[in-house]
Amino acid sequence: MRVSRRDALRKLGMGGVAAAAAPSWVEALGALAQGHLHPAPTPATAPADWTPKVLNADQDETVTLLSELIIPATDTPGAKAALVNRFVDAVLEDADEHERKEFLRGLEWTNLRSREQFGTDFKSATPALQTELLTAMSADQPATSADLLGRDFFRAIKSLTITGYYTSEVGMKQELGDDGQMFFAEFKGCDHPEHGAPARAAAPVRK
Amino acid sequence: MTEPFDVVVVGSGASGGWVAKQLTEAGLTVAVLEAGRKLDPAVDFTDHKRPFDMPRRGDRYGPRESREEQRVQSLTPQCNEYTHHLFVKDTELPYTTPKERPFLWIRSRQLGGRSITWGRQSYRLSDLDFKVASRDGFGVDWPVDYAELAPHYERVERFIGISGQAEGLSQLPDSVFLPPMDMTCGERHVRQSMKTKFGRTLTIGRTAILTANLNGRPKCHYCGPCDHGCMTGSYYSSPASTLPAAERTGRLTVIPNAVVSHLEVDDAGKCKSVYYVDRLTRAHREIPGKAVVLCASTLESTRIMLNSRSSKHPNGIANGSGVLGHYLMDHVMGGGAGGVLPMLDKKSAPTSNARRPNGCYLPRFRNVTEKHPDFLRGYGYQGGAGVEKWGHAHTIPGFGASFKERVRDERRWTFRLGGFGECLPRFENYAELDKDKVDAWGIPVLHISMAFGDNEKKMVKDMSEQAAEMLEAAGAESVRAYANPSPPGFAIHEVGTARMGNDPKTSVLNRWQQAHEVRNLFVMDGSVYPSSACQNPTLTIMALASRACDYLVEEMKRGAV
Repeated sequence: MRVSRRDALRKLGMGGVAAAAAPSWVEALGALAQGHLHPAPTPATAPADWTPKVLNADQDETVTLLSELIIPATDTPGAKAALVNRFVDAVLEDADEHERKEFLRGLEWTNLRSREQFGTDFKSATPALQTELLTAMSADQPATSADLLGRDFFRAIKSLTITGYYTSEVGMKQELGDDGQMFFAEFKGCDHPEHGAPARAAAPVRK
Repeated sequence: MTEPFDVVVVGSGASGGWVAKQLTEAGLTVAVLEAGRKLDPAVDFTDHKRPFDMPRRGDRYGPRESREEQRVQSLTPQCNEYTHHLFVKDTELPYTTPKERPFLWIRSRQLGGRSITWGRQSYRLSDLDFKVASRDGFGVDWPVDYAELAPHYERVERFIGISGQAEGLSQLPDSVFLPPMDMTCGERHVRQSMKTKFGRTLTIGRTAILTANLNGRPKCHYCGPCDHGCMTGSYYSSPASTLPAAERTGRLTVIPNAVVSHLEVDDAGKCKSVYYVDRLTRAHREIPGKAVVLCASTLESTRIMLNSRSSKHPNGIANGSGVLGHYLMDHVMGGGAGGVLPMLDKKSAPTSNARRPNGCYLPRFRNVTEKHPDFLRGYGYQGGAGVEKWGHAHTIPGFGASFKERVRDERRWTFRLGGFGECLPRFENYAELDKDKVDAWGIPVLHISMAFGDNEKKMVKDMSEQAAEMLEAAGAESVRAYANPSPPGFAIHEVGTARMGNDPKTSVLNRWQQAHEVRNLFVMDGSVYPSSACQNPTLTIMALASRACDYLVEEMKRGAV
């Protein structure tokens, strides 16, 4: 059975990580992040001690840039600080040949389009022009069928960025407020009478 | 080991561990043969690994080698980047099916078996299940009823620990419970609505996880992913609970890496020894025992019996009836619904990162008091409510700072329900030895032929419709219902193929799980089920084992085995 490009990119992007990192209810019940207003920190690991396995230096730079455009640093760090590019490279390394090829083709399409429209590679375009092209790529219905690859590639890199960011140390600790504590005395559920919770015995008063 | 053991137990999972404990505590010497290795929790358990500790962040399908060597295993969400080493390699342990009748056989070979990765949901059966054929005329009744099994449920529960809420329902008898885990706001809300509008009881999941210290094991610390292995042994697994108890008697010998091929019999046709292949050296060995208890799991125990052919037992041991291998069942899944609870806001979200490794359960309500026009039997739902963390980001359009902000702002309360339905026992759902194929140890593999029937398909449709109706009645929005029957095996609740019964012509085992034809052969795993009920099977398998072990001990004492 031939796997279409769209299927390949979708498979790569959705990768199942989101759905299966934990049983569904565990994922769903993971507590809501609180107090995510921290100053942006420096990355935990300096980028210099790593080299990509699949991406070349240019491609790695472009992926880093794209991921940061999708989830930028705000009051918390963004995808670049979360080293999402390394996650993308790891996924590509492990992916089927067809998926890897389609992703790299999409990356190349982005540069081609940038050169056509702005006369320069994507990474050398101004932030405003980068955003303009990405906005066009993010449209559900591209202007022409020739742009379908751009749309599918956007969906894949966005999906990888989401998964890579929110499962990174930076993303979990700073954006989601999950500091990695593993031992809890209790799981405290609902104690609202309006939701039907039984009245709790009053806590003993400590003197 | 020159002296024969009193009992050789094949398999070290939930039931094998229990059998080893009960028999050694009763004074018998026991050898437990386990096909897999002994795990090292410090290396093999990944419960405290975070996504970023894994190269692919806990990928659903695991690394490339797993996807290639575990084509079947990796189809279950439980087998992923964190856990793939806790499941077998399909390349070593193949099986065959007819092309149009796929069956997913999800297996573990390790000390503790699937009790390491199981879902831990634990529910008693009732006479609605045991006397099933008397009620609706299909299949057979169990040769045991609730009153007889209740004390054994209690004995197992007091030792392994089941947390839950007593509800007093006839179709789902209460266990002896440790304190229940808390429900979330969304679950409380839906519980109220279901009670008022449908008279149905949504209860907190009943689970073999300690909510209070018990028998030297510490209570749960709410790290979340039990199925990655539990460092503290706070849920029931045999290596953390029953096997150490058996070891303390000084009468237990555990033999890992013993891949059992078949049973050897004497001239009278009684079991003489268990024949196995060393997993690592491929050496062939025999271990004699006065009695044999198979706890190798549904299908594996049957495979061993089918492969135990002799002049006395030409079609496999204990198979004079021709029933061995037949009446294979698994719960049907694939019907349910999910939706958003708009009446709850982020303010009612949990304020700590503690993760409750449990959901909610909606007990069976079909064919309990009224007869359903479309299908026999019934189903229960598992599900629950929580607040989205980041998975919803995949559905939010756009990118950039505003996108990131929306992911923060749009964390909604969602509620899901998924059904587990009873599967009717049918002769034509069966397993037999494949004549042409052997596994990596030279043992004939199974040919498994199973499909769900019309009854299960109609049930899945009803699961879907009822889930949607109840969610909508609870005020849920964006309700999405689904109805796609799962392939058999997917629930990993496979039971049957060596069923117990009072009639030797239509069953393999008697009411004590002793082979009708071989009085020193017992089966004490899910193979013995005459019908599947719709509750998760492990607790009942263990309660049945407790009852059968009492009998085995008495029979051995009076020299009748």
